[in-house]
Amino acid sequence: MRALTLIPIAVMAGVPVLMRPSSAFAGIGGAAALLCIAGVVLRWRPLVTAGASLALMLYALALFGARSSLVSAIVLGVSVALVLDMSEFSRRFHGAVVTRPAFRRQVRHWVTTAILGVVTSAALASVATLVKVSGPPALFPILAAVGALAALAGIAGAVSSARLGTVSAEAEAHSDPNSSQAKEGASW
Amino acid sequence: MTWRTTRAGLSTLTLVSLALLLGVVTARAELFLVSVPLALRLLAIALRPTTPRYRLKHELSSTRLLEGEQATVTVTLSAETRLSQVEVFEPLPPSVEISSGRPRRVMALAEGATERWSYTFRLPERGRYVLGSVYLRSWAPSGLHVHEAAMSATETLNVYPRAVPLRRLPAPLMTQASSGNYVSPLVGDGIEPGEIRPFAPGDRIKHVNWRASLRRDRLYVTRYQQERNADVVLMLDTLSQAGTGSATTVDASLRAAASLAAAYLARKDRVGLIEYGGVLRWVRPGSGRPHFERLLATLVRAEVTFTYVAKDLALVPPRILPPQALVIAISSLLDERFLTALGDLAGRGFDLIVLAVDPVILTRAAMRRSARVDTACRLWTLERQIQLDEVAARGLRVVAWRPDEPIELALARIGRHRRPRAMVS
Repeated sequence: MRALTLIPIAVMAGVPVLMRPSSAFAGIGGAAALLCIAGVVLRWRPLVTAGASLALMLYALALFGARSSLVSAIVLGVSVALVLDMSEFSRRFHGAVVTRPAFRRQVRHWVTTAILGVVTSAALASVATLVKVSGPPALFPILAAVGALAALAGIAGAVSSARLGTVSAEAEAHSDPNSSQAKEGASW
Repeated sequence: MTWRTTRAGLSTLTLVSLALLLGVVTARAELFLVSVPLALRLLAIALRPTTPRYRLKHELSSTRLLEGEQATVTVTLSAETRLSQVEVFEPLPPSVEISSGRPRRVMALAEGATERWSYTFRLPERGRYVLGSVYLRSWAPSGLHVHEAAMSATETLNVYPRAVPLRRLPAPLMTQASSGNYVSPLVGDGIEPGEIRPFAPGDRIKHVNWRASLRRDRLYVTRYQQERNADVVLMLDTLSQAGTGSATTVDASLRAAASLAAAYLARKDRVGLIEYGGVLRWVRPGSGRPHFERLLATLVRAEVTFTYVAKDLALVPPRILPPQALVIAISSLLDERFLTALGDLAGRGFDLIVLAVDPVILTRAAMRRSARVDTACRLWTLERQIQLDEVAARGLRVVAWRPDEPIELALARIGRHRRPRAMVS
């Protein structure tokens, strides 16, 4: 399972390096990949986040003076999402027996995530290009502001509904049979 | 339970924010595009999966085991709603060694489907284990949502100390009135022929010795010797212990006690138990298989409880410690209070045997080998020999037992020094 995580990590670290093939970029890209791999091996999520963040910053650096590359952005976005998803899967089920149907269903989820990411990104890029070509330039700032507000509102809504950080499933000790959850076992 | 959000969403949120920030700073649309798949992942938090419903069954192959034996747990999960990713986990005690399978499993079940699996484990240490606390987590495939529930513990697994069969046992000096395996010098009902005497009015015809009667031309009867049993009280020292894990002096003492109890009960003797430690526990002398189970259940719970208080054996009622009982004290003799209690018993005239469990060998096994440890253990062995000699000089019958040698060897040493004399009470 861990080995499978290496694929999106390699893609994620490789995209900025391929855009700017230099030793400095390769070094930073390698560091980002190593951080992610360390996070996967040690099952410590902050390391994976740090590695992905480094790859994003490297990509931003690679974009300086470069031509517009929407494909690289889509590939990077999907690979980062998959790195998070796959590292999370290997972390939470480490040491468990994962049955074949469960694994198949998870792979299907990853494929769906990738396809949905590609399609949505491509659609948004097409809409943006269409607006840029046909729309009046005066509308651009307004459209950008509306888009930003919609994105912010969507994320805020999702986060507030989820009460992020208030309860952590991982923080719940597995081995505490006297926990409040354990006492509810009688209702089964 | 309801669905809850995990902290995995925080990582996604961090990366989305970073991508948007970099996009604003660099004024490049690509970075906004990078954030799109991540934002989609984040928006998936708002989609709450349906509450899972299922039935879980946990079966244990046996609730009673001997040390080192294996047990199999079979878990059956029936899904009443679709379970896209469900994790079942049973926390096991740290000493458990998994032989096959794993107690943690991730499955995907369609509505109405049932999954059944099992795993086998071995319990190397005696004790009372509560099993059956099964945790069940339903995950959203993204790992952003989790639904948790737990089934409380329902099954208790008793792991008894392993008893070894013993052929030679120290014979008690005094017997009791009930029927047993010890031949009494007194005549009465029994199967051991005692004496032949002339027939007297009142003698039963079935006792007439026809061969002697024909030879002497007069009626003779055979008299039989009575067969009696004995009371044996095993006294365990749980004031202190040496060694680690399941290789402690207390564990060795418990195995010895279980072996002795099984052997004496097989001889129809009544066996009692006194656990002399921080907590004074006892089992009244009794006989039979159920009583053996009772003794084992008490042995399972035996543990060292630290205390400064010396327990007075006068607290033990006479029915627990019958006056003519054979008392076998099993101790590492590390605590002076136990020696005092032994002196008390000897002073009260009990038939007392002390089985001194050697703590040196267990301590040495628990430590890393070095010249210093070897020297210390040799010195300790010498000191211990002096201690045993001193105890023997007080009039107590002591026999040293190394836990790595068969207990029968130590018991054979007792046999040589005792002169068994069965007497009728």
